Amino acid sequence: MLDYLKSPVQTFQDFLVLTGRSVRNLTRPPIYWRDVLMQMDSIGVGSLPIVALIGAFSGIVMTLQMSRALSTYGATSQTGQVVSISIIRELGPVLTALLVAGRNASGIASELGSMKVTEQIDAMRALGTDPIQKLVVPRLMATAFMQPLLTAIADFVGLIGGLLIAVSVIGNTANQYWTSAIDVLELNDMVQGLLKPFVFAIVISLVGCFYGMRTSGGTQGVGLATTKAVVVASVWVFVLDVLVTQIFVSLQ
Amino acid sequence: MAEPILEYSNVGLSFDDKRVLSGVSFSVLPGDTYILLGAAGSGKTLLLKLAISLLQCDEGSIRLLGRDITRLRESEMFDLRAEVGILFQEGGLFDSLTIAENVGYPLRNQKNSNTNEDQIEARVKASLDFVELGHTLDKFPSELSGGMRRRVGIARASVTNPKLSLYDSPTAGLDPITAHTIMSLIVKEREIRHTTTVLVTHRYQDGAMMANYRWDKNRNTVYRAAPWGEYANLRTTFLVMNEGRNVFRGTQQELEACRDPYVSQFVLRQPAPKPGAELYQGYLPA
Ligand SMILES: Nc1ncnc2c1ncn2[C@@H]1O[C@H](COP(=O)(O)OP(=O)(O)O)[C@@H](O)[C@H]1O
Ligand SMILES: [Mg+2]
Repeated sequence: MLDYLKSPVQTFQDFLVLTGRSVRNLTRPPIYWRDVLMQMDSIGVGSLPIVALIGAFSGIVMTLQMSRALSTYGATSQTGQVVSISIIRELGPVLTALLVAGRNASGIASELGSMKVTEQIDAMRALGTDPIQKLVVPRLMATAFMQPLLTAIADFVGLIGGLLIAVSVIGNTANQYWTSAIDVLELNDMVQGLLKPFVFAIVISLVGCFYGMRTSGGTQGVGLATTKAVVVASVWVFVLDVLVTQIFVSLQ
Repeated sequence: MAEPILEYSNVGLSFDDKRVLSGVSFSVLPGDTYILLGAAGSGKTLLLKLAISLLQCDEGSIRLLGRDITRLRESEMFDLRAEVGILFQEGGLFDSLTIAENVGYPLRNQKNSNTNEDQIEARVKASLDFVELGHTLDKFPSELSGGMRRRVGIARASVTNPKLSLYDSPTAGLDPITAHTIMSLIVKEREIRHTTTVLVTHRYQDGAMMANYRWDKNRNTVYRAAPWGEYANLRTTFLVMNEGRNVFRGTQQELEACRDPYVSQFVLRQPAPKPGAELYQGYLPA
């Protein structure tokens, strides 16, 4: 039993070490800004279309699902309210995070994993650069910056998706929908809606880097690292979602 | 006696419960050439990585350029690593950078190389010309053949004029002709820059070449520094590794005379040369 626990505990400890070193390096020169920009482009701009698409569909589907319940209780005028709260607090951040985990945690893990097995990471250290500084910090910074933006975009597109259904199926006027959607939002929701993606981003990028940098066993190892990174990052997204939500609920 | 450039004292290393190195001791003096032979998995790559502290050993100690690096912090290692050139077994060339950027990487990133951009470009060009790849500056590693990538690796390892050169299996997976070209470059590098060399290989010919061949600047080729059947022993020592242990150390004659069944498998006896073959083989009588 103890042996069975030893390896996950050891892995988690190694992960914390990487996290500690990355955070410490954030304040240390040199910051490789060119790499930060490149990562912002691949993580942010690259994920934009799929994030927008998923945002729109989730808005549409959710509003469709709600429409019957709302009309049963004669509450169709509150469609905007229901849609906006669930998207901003929950669906936007979590769906975006899952997409970023699938797209970028895997991308990061496979890129760093191939670099590891072809000894490029050793070469970096041998030739005067710290791989944490050169590889991990730019990915961490770029994800932490882009993910709240991506989430905001997903939220907005989701609200528009909801609007389409509210107007065409439920019979709201656009004005009615927007007023109800905006009025219900409190500062608390906005903070929650932006804090979540920020926290998710840190974990997703670090998990990707972590599994990438500890890849071993050639190309097969790269595949394993990639899979692990996506699975672990996705699980963490849900765990952290519960934690952050709980904190906000108890604050209210 | 000169101080060793690199010295292993009773070095041991384990991963989890598996012992991968134990009791390895040897020291490399300035101008020496060491050939590490051994089966795959015998710990040759680990020994090279330990030399520049890419990993740390659990037992014993390692001294590099007069400093004990056994417990040195990563930040303190960077200056020492700048004195060492290393060619990795898997290449270690950065896929995302051009050949010129790859070769210039140590010049731009190692702290104590305060060279300006013009000097860097000149040195990159010179280093690539040295390995006869001056025309590939703007290509990417993926556009080159395996042998060319090894040559770029040699150029990158030597661009800083290191005191110590480490080569990890430079000829692995190459055809005999390309392998010969690579080994000639390593002989040339040793001759022209007087670097101390540690070479990992599983090909006996590579060791024999380091032990007996020198570079002829005028003819731009290697030549054998002793008549056939004799040994030039150009300060070359052979080490044979077996499952993390050093099971043999000695000169080429001693290696060829060794009767140990594992060790003798690495020896490839050269056929007796045909009469007149000396000239054909590039032997220049002194
Ligand atoms: N990071 C690692 N984790 C676990 N075992 C390793 C690691 N690196 C090397 N080994 C093991 O150490 C032994 C020696 O490896 P290596 O030095 O690469 O051999 P080679 O002589 O072929 O270069 C091998 O058995 C290898 O499996
Ligand atoms: Mg090896």
